[in-house]
Amino acid sequence: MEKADLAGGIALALVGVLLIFVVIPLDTEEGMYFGLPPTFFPTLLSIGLTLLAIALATKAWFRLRAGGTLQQAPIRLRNLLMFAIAAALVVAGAVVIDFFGMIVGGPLLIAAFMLFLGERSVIRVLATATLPVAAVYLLATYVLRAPLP
Amino acid sequence: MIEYMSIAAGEILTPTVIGYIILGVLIGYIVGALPGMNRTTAIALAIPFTFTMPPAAALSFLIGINKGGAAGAAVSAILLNVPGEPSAVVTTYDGYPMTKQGKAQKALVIALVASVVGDLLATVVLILLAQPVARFAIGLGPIELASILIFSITFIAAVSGDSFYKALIAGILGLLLSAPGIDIETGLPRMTFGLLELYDGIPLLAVAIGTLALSEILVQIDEGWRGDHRYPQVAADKAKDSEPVFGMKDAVQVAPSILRGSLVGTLVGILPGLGATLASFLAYTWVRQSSKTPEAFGKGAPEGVAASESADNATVPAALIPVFAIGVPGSLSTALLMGAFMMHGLTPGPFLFKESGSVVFGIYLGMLLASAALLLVGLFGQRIFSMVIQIRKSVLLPVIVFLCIVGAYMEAGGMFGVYLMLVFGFVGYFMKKFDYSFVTFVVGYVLGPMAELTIRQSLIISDSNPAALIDHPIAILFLLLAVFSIWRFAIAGARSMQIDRAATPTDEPSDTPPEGGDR
Repeated sequence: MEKADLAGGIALALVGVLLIFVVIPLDTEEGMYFGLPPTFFPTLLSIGLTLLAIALATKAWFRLRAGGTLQQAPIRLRNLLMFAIAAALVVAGAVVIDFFGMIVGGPLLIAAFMLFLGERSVIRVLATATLPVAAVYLLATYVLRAPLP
Repeated sequence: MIEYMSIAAGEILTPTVIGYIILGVLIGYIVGALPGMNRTTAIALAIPFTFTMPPAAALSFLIGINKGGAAGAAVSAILLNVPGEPSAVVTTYDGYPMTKQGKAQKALVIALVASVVGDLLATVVLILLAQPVARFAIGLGPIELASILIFSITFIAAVSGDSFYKALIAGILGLLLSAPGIDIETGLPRMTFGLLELYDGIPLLAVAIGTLALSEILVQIDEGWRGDHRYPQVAADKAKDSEPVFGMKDAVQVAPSILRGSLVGTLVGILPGLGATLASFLAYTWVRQSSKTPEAFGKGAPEGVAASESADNATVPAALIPVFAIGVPGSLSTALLMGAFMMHGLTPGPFLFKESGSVVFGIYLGMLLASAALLLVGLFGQRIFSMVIQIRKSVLLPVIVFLCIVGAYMEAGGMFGVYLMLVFGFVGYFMKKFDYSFVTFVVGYVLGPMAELTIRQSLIISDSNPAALIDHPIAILFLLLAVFSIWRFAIAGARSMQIDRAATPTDEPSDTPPEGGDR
């Protein structure tokens, strides 16, 4: 985990610096106010974030120099590939639901995910893809009267 | 008070609301029983479906899920040796050996009775304690409240996860997430990136569903790549018992363990960040040490199951005491419930009893009904739950992904919330993989606005002069406690706590518990 902590610490410290000097000043509107400026709290937090991230990276660096532990890396290439495919499916599902609505997009998303996870029973895929979508549609439309995509 | 109680009874004691409460407990039970799923995921996914319910009914429904989830986690722990949640790890120590001895039903009933009693006792403590504590908290000013919040976040960071730095970073990231939107004091837009949707801040459900539910699915799919797409099968012969399920002799045998577990669960539940997992470990250790036959523990001792389950369930109502009294959540589920309170127009904290007294009494009544529902659902549904835990991941996970999208859409009323939820799903995946604490992250996010307001007010009142603290002894106490907790738990105690946990005996190691339980 030391390498991951070192990389994470450096990345988070950079995020903190970016927040302090770029995001917060540029993306906060100026105006008349009494007391502390609206940038105060996020800047305070960003300073804390940067300091803690530096501390994390430094600690990881010293541990690495001392030999580190023999812990397995938290993410390997195979995990990342799996994550990327799953993430792409979720994003694609959300886009399809956005354009064609939940009644079309929902079953497609569920069916695609089931096939991706190794499900090969057509009956199971059809039942799982349609029944929960129908249940949510009926519940939201007739009981909760809530909007659906 | 009587007026509040009669209004609450009128709202809660209707077939519809009672139905919601039973449904909540049932959903929680099923989700808790499913290995890899947890109650926080269920609460996050259920919040959008409560928008049209009356506040007391909605919150009773959500608390019912929480209670059901805590009890349901024992089912897979006992039958499969796979804890439904981390807090049920201890239940596997004696629950699974009981199943192997042909006493599965007995173990399940003992777990259920212990859960119901622990839950009920802690609910009574909540009812008795929350209002007096709130009355005291009304007298606290911004300086005291700011110091309590600082203590809560540092204490939670100190006791959650292996790395204090990472836990505190997660807390700060959570606090930062609450910054975008209209500034509470000046009314000026801040960190909105020109997006009108962010003027109201980042929606809670996009954060909660993304980081808790979607990220969990992504992690499980990631694990599924290695070939295990379904949960283990329950051996048919293990579900049959060779002797009477639960008699008076059993009740007498486990009663002291249940009482001890309930006491530990209640005390641990009140403190922020410690959570149900530690409570069940502590209760188990106490009961084992005080037993005349400690050697029987880990080999199928009913007292072990009783202690673990009563402590686990007692933390659920107890954790609501600080939410009701001072508006500070100490766990993931209470952070989500606090978010649900706010979505329903309630402000948790000292003024909750004054402003929404009837709703509070409605929630109390709903919680008591949920305890009764827990017993009924558990008694009549255990056979069903032992089948439910075998649902294939390839069926379950896609449906949850779909519910994530629907839930995020329903809160924000558009696809913006969905895309934001996806972003937090990916963020949550990496947080899980790199061991950044979710508890401090979500608690930080929920407490953000209150923390900002009280810190800014404190600085203005004191003219940014630290010497002004001398007039605020309560604030000094909590700041000292924050420093002490960092030193004791994060620096000096972390290693010894890990050693203690690792040293807890087990006859047979259980599977790795799922992450994201309610610690």
